[in-house]
Amino acid sequence: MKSIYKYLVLFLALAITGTSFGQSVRDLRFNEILIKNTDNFSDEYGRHVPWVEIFNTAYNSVNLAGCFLTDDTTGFAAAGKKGGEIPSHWYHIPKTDVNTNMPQRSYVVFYLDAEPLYGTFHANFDPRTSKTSYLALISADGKDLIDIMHYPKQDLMDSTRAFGLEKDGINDKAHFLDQFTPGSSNEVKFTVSKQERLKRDDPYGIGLAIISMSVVFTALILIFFMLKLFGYGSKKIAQRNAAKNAPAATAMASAAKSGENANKEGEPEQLTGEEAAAIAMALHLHFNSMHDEESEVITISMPSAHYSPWAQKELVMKRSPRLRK
Amino acid sequence: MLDFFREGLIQFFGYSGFGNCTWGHIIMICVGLFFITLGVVKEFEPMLLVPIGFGMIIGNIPFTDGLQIGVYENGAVLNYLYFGVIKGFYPPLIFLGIGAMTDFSALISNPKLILVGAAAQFGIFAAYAIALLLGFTPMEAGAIGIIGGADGPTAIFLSSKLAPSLMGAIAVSAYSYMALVPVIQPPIMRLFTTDKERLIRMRPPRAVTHREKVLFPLFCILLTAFLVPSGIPLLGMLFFGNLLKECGVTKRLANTASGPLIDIVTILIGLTVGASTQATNFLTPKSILIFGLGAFSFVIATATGVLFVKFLNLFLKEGNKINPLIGNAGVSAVPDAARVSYVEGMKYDKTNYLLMHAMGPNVAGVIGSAVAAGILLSFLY
Repeated sequence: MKSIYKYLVLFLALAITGTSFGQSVRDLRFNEILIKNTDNFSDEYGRHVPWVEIFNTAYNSVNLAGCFLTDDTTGFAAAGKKGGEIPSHWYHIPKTDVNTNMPQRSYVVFYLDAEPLYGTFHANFDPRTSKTSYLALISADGKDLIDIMHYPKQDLMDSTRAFGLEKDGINDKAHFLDQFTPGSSNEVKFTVSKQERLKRDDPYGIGLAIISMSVVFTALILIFFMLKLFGYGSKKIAQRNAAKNAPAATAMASAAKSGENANKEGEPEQLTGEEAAAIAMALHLHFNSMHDEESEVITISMPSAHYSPWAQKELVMKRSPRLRK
Repeated sequence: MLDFFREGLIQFFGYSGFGNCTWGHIIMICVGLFFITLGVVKEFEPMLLVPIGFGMIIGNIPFTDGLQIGVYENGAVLNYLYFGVIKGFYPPLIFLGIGAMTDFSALISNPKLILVGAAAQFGIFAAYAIALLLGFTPMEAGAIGIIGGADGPTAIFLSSKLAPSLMGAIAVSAYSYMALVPVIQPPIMRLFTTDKERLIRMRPPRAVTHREKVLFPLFCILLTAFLVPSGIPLLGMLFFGNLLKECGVTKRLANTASGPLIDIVTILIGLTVGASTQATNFLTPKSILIFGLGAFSFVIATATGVLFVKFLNLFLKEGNKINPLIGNAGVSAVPDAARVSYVEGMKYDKTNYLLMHAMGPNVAGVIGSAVAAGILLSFLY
C-alpha cells in the first residue's frame, strides 16, 4: 500500500512539473490590435500597417521564439498528433532574434503586413485580406494553443480604432479602446500610481500609519494567541504526564521519607531559576569541554601494532637535554 | 626629456587620489575613521561599524572615473559585491542567520511581550509622516521611516526597493543608530519611567518545550506571510533559519546559517554599504535630513515601547506586571536593546535580571519590523 502512495506522489510531482509550463509562453496574451492604420504606429520602414500587441503576463522573461502566429488554425489538430506536421501557412517566429525574449510584464508588437522578409516582427499574413476574424498564438511544438483573439473584423476595417483588452492580459474584457497603446499598457490612461494616490488621499501619512500599525498589531496579536494556545497545550501535556507519573513520584517520595522532594500533588518539585541556571551552566561547561580533567585517557599499555612514526609523538620528540652543573 | 618626465608626473598626479581629492572625500574618510574608532575603542556594534567604516574609507578614496574602480561603476569588483545590496538579497540571508541564532523562548513563554514589539514600530510611521511633511516622496518617506525599526538589513531591503538613491544614507543611519542604542535609549527610558516602575520584578519565564520551539516558526510564517506576503523574503528566511536551529536535525545547516554565512554576508553588506557613501552622492542636505529623521524615529520607537508597557500594566494584576525598562527592546536591535534594558535595570536593583524578559520584545521587534517593511512595500512599491 505504501508503495502505491509513493508512486502516486511521484506521479503527482511529475504531473505538476509537466504543468509548470505556467511560467513560460503560456503566459503570453494578445493585448491589442489595430487593422485600419492610416496615420498611427509605423513600422521600422515608416509604413502604416495593421499590428497586434502581445503581452507577457508573467513575472519572468518569456521567449516567444519558435512559436507560431497565425490567422488560420487549420491543421492545428493534425499538428498536435504524434508525427504531425506544422502547417506551412503559420508564421514561425524566428529563433535567432534576441528581441523575441520578452522581459516580465512587457509588450511586443507584430506587424501584420504579410511581409515576413521585412524582419522578425512582420507576420506572413494580413488581416485585411484574411478570411478569418481571429489571431492565434501557438506553441513551438504546434500542440498548444497559447491564446486566441477574436475581433470584430468589419468594424476594425471600417474604423481607425484599436481593439483590445481593458486590463492587460485579462481576456474577458476585450472591447474597442479609446487610445492606441502599442508597446505599452492598455490601462495607462486610467492608472494613477500608488505614490500619486497616496499623495492625494493621505498627504500627511496618518492613514497609512493607522492601517500599518493595525496590520502590525493584527499579525502580532495572532502570534500572541498562537503562543497562548501553545502555553495552554503545553500545560495540559505536562499535567497529563504528571498524572501518569504520579504513582511513581508518590512512591519515590514515600521511599525518601522526607516528603520534601515532592509536593502535595505528588509532582516533582519545580526547579528555581537559580538552580536551573546552575545546572545549565554545568551542562554548558561539560559539553564545551571547559573542564579541568582532560578527556583523554592516560594509560601505560603499549601502543598497538598499527602505529605510524608520523603519528607517534614519542618518536618525534627529542629527549630533554640533561642539565650539567 | 625633462618635459616628458614633468608631463608624466603631472599625469600620474592627476590619476592619484591626491589629485582628485575634495573636502567631501576628506570628511567622509574622517567619518569612516570615526566609525572604526567607535567600533574598536567603544565596542559599539563592532561587527557592523568596522566594515562600514572601512568601506567608507575605500569608497571615498578619490579616483578618476572610468577605471572600473568605484562601487557605482559597472564592471567594478565593488559594484559586483554591491549587487547584493541593490537587488536586496543580502538582507534575507542575514535574516536567515538571525533566525538560526535567535532563541524565541522568552517570547513563547510570555506571549504578551510580543505586543511591546508591535508598539515600538510606531516610530517607523511617525518618521514616515514627518518625512512627508519635509517634502520627501511617499516612497522615500517609507524607506526613511524604517530606520525607526532599528533593523539594518530591513532598512537596506526596503530602501533598495523604494528609494535606491537614498540607500547609502539610510543604511548608514540605521546602523549608526543601532550602534548608538546604549547612548540613545537610556535617557528616554529614564524620562518615561518612575523609580517604582524600574524596580518591578517580573515572573520568571516558564520552561518552553522542544515541540513549541519547532512549531513556533512554522505557525508564525503561516500567520504573518498570509497577512503580509510582501514580507516573505525577510520573514520566510527568519523563520526558516529558526526552524533549522530548533528542529534539532539540521544542526550543520543551522551552524552554517548562524556562523559562516551570516559572517560573510555581514562583511559584504557592511563593506559595500560603507563604500556606497561616496562623498559626491552622500554629502547632500537630504542625507543630513535622513540622519535627523532616523534619530527622531528611533526616539519615538523607544518611547512608544516604554509607554506601551506602562499602558499594558494598567490591565495587569500585581505580580504579572511588566518592567517598563524592557519597553525599549521593542525595537529590533538584537540583542543590544535587550542588553540596555538589563544594564538599566541593574542600576536600580542589582538582583533584577531583565535580560531574558527583554529578549521577548526584542525578538518580537524583529518580527514586527519585518512585517512593517512588508506593509510599506505593499503600499508604496
